[in-house]
Amino acid sequence: MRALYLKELRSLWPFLILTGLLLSGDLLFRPFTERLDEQTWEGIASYLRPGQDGTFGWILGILSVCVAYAAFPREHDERTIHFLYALPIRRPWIFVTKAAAGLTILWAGVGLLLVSDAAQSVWNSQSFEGAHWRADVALSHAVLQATFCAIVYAHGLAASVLRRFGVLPYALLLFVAWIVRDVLPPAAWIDPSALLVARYEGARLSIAWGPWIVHALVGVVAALTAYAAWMGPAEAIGLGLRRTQASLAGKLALGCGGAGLVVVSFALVGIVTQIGPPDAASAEAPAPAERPSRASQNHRTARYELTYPVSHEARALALAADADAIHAAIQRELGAEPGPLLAADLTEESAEHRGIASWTHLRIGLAAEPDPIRLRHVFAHETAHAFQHTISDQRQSDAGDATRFFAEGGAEHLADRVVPNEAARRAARAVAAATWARHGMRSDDLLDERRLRERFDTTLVYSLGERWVDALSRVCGAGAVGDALRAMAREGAPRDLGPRAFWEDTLAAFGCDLEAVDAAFAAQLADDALALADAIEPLPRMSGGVVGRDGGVLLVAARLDRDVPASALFFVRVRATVDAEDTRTFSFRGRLDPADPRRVAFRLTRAVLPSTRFQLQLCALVDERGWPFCETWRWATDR
Amino acid sequence: MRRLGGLLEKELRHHGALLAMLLAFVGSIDLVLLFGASVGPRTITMLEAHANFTRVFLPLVALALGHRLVVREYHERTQRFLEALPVRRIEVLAVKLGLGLAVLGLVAALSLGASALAAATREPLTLRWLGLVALRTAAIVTTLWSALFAMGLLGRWRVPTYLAIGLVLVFLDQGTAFEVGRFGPFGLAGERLVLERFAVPWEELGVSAAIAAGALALAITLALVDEGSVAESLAKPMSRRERIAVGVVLALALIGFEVVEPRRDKPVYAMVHPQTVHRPDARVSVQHVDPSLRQDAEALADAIAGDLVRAREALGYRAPLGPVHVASRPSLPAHARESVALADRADGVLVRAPFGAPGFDAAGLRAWLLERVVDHATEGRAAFEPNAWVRAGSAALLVHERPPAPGLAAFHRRHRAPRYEALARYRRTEERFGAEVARALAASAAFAFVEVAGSDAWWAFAREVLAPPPPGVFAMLRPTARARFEAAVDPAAFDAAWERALTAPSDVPRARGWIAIEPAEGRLRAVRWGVRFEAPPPPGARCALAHAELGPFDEVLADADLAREEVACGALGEDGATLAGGGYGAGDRALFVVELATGGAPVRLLAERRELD
Amino acid sequence: MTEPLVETRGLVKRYGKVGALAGLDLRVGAGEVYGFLGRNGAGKSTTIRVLMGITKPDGGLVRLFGEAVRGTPVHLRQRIGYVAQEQTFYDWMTAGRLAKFVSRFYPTWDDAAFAHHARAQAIPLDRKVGGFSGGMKMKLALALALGHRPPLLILDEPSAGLDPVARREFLERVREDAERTGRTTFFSTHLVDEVELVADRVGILDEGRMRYEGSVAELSARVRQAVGLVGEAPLAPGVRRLSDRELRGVRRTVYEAEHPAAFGALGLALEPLPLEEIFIEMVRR
Repeated sequence: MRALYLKELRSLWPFLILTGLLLSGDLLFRPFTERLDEQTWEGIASYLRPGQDGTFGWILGILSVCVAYAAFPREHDERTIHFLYALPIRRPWIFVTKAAAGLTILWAGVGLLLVSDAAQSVWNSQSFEGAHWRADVALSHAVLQATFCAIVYAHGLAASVLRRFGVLPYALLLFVAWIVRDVLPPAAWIDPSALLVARYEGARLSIAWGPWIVHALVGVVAALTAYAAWMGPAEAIGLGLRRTQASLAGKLALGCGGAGLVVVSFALVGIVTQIGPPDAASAEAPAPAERPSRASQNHRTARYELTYPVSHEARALALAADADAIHAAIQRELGAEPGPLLAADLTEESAEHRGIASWTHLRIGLAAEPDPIRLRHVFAHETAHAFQHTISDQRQSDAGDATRFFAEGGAEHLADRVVPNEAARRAARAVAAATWARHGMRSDDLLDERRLRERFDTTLVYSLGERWVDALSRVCGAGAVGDALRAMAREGAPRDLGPRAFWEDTLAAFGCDLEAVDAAFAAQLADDALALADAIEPLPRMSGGVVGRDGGVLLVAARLDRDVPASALFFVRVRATVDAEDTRTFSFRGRLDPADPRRVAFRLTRAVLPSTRFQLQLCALVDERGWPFCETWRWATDR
Repeated sequence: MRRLGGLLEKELRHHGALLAMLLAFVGSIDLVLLFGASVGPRTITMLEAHANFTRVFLPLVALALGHRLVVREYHERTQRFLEALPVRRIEVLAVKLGLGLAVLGLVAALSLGASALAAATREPLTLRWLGLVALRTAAIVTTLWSALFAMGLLGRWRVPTYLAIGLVLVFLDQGTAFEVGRFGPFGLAGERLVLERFAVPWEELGVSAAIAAGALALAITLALVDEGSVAESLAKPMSRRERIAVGVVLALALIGFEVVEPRRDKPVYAMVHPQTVHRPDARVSVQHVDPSLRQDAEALADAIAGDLVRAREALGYRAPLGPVHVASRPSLPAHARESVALADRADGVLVRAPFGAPGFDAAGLRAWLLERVVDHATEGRAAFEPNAWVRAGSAALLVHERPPAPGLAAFHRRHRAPRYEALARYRRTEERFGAEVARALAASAAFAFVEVAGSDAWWAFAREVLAPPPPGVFAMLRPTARARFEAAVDPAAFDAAWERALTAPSDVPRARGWIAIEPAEGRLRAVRWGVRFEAPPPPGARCALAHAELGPFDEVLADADLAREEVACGALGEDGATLAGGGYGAGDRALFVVELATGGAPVRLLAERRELD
Repeated sequence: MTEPLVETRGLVKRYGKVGALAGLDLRVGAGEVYGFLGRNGAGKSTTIRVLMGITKPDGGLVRLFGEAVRGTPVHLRQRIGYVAQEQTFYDWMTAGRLAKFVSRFYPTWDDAAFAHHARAQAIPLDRKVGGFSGGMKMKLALALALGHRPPLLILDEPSAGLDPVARREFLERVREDAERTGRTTFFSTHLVDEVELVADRVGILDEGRMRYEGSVAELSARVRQAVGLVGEAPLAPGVRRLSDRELRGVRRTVYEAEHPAAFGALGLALEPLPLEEIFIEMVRR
């Protein structure tokens, strides 16, 4: 038995090297490029970081399946298994030894990872970061990783019975699980790699026992299936597969089976997307007054090709009459060429947004906006976006996180100048000034959307963005917005810069200084805080969080620090982790407690919550024309 | 022509059934994409279904075709049978190439047709727009099929080649000015694939054509050179040794990505605002924007320039310090200063301060700025906790004649006896008493050191601690600041001198901060805090509760990371105030700090990291 | 010897350091059945692959149907029937379908001729080629080669892998076909009895060079052996001693002479050798 085990280990040694390289490869370069006594433990061991995206689970998973495929099918296909059967060993022990050898390789890899990360993190003797290493957390992670490897290894053993044809169904299952995890977070635990996403309560690792037990059971079943198959018909299955693969009918069956699985999985994902829980916009934006008709009509003006729902023809034609003037005004503001004809589709129904723009295409919810001024403001906003894309040759959207505040803020600024709406502007500026002062924000929080999203409300890119662009125009000239867009598209502009370096370079290209703009921006917000004090006063501070459970509902309550008008709306936003997309952020509306005017109650359906540990943000919309004031994102636990 | 007909018929008969099934499968995928586009909230045109199909599924179909038409032929050695027949090898190749192109073209055309039909019902389609989309799709199909056809002939080296090309493209994209997303076929399949309605992408078309031609040349060479024996030898399965070699090379390449720092051609940072005072030789620039602050800016720039020269001499740095940029930020409170991280080392140090404002402490800014400059010169090693106090002490000695802010140092003395421990665990001191108190304490220690062992001994000690570090792990091999300190000065004499320096009365009012965690509704906890003064607080004194959520690991929290709620101390009264924003529940871990500010920088009366039970 | 249908002069071919052919001279007359004899690895298959234009020679001249060629062009390959050493057909085709496919490449294809040969060799036309045995594949290859009535038939070790009965039937069919149609047939083999049975002329290939080329009769007349000699083996002008061995107590000395008359000068009692022995003596080291 020992000889067989050692023989198996010798045949799998390349995987030990590969595992070592993939998991502890940083040992080769980190000591020479970094000062280990300044490195924190979770800086070295990425799997420790709360809520990371589970990529580590994928690496371990793929390794486990590869080891399973290396341990079993080859011996049968190269017919050396018969030599083993001839030896005086009972057959079940052959299966057990081979399985054990594969598992040893994986667990050795996990052990090596634990030791290599610990070895690199013990040098840090600083008072705070030096105390991160904790044996209990390290061991619990190692045990979870080892269990995860065992589970996926069992899956691999079962899949390896079908040789190559086992890979496609398994890969598809994981693909569907990964999609469901992204689309329907509450069911995230279906994807095994989600098990390894680290979540903590206080300083202890919180383990979701339910999903682990379910996956462990599935693993055991897979292992037993593999055992039964390898002991019994594995030979026949291998031969049968080779024969079916050779015959045309077999090819068709396998081909159709695979294709069918792919189509079903995509359709499943498509359906699940639609029945998902209410997303942010629908819970926050008031329901659209009327729905547009299905039938649509086209209308051509000098600068636009409009498509509008027949049911709102009058409103559409009225807008069309002003369209070219709005276009010309924005073109003047930006000092730009007229540019290509814009396609404006006014049949949008989604409550997700009032309008979107992509290259020279606009899509606006005509039916959802009865107020003519706001409709033209949205139309001007989206037209400004189209100009931004063409003038910057799409460099603005390429720069990603660095330019979102400028895109939205710039569009709001231009729309304000072309279609003034004083009341809405005042409400927006009040929220901007209040959020800036109350949360002690800095301009660097706005420049990088990832930093903004980490703690603050993402709709600040509109209100704060507009104030920044306004400051830019005051400091660097009225045409500064157009100049910035042209600077982005200029030949030889450096690429792949961080947000701050991007704006230093872009502004310097036309003689404008980022620090001067930031100073003016901060000063403007300080002035707004004084000038708009009466508009800021009604915005309440909200302190609260999870209060408890009521069956399938999680109770969240917030205390207000002041009385608010009855028309005020309250909602709580929920997301799984910091980098959850806007479309994956859910909102739930709250109700003022009749008995206590300073208390708002929220009822969150627990089935929708991404996991037991999630983030929530309390928001209040006092002036419906402006933006909501929100507190910072906080971690919460469904307990 | 009969020969080509024969070959074509053979291919169709062999792969016909599977090609038909492929078309059916692709059709169903296209329907799913159309359904997705029609219900998707962010769909802007139905043609996006075709765009998604072209970006994701067309390459998959091309891969499957390449495998069926090319790889299998060599894999099963039926190529030898064709060699014997009176047909030229180029004809065999041409038939496979043409068949693949036709099938892929048909699939793409079906997808475009279906999307166009769906779009026609919702939006105005123009012929020019559809023509452009068709042109881009055709170019993508041709380039894709030529490349995968050539790859098919690479046999067992096919997959490693795909990986190698992928890694090279990613490396070029991140490390150089080359942009994969706008290059040739990738540019064609970019965001404008279905959105560009007027301009023809000549440049991308040209590059795609070049790639297609190059791939075909490679395919012909592989198939024809040395009577096709090259392609045949490549078709043999990969040996175990080759597989391991590929695995190791791949792993090393991935590690290579980690280590190699991509080069960016970003210009060095400079302040371009006209209202900026420049001292080019000292590499100092002070931006004041408001013309009335010009004098302050000039004075500050000259003072900083002098500091840099003296610091370089004192600490023995070979390279000149800086460059240093100071930006005026009038909206900041008088004592506040902000440091900004710049992209590259060459950009130097950038700080913001409200210089010229009433109550602004220029000397304090210069000392604090010197600390940032020393950090920059030592690539951050001076900020390493054991060294931090030496950096603060050195900066104080260079700028001040007497220990600055003695009152703050005495405030610390009020709570702790002066021990080296408070300097060694500098972050703990900062968190418990506040950054300015810690800096004042370090300055008092430096002056005490000079009083005991003399200035030269201090600078010899500082030069060793704050020297630019060797790379990586070798920096750790140097003896710690404490070992050098005990060698440089007699600890007992130092303690006595330090004690004497801290006897000055502290101007910080005597007060104790308190925090009470009280159960609120359900699992929520209310945080009440207050300050008990022994004597009534001076008018204008501001009290604040700063707090922040803590993760499982205790990071160092900068001031900017803390949320702050400030009130006038007089309004606090006996039962204090309750936290208004945010909110904590049972099981949360948080840092709570009670601050007191009497005009200058705030001091921390209380700082606790607590887990709320 | 009439105008040679196939001729090579100084044919050279190297695979890396291995010299497969080192200056081969070969002549096959029209209508002849030419046996190309040689040990395994002597260069037989290489020669055939060069004649078929599948492999390009490194030197020397090749003339087919009187035309000097460098890599056999398509129009000449259409006049050659070729049976490879190892059949690599499309397993998924039936024999009939394979014939239909091959027919598209030969203008002179004759369905009747193919059907005749297929029937004669009992080849099931409707069964998949993948299920055929080695022998059945060889027969199908011959039928396909003869299906377009080629003036020249080239067979590369056709009988390798056949049982003795199948081999004999195969050789008789080749012989009968050559006699009936006067087709020039060139086949390589390492079995001497095949040459005796079928070939008019024989070429012995040894280490990439032609060791002997001529009729079978002339070959057997060139070599004589003396049994039981005592003492030094005598020599004579025009005669070469090939070997002088003692096997189980019997000493045999083998001589070769360009012209049989030269043997008389030895003054020994000489006996003829079977063709197999001659071949062994000629090519053994």
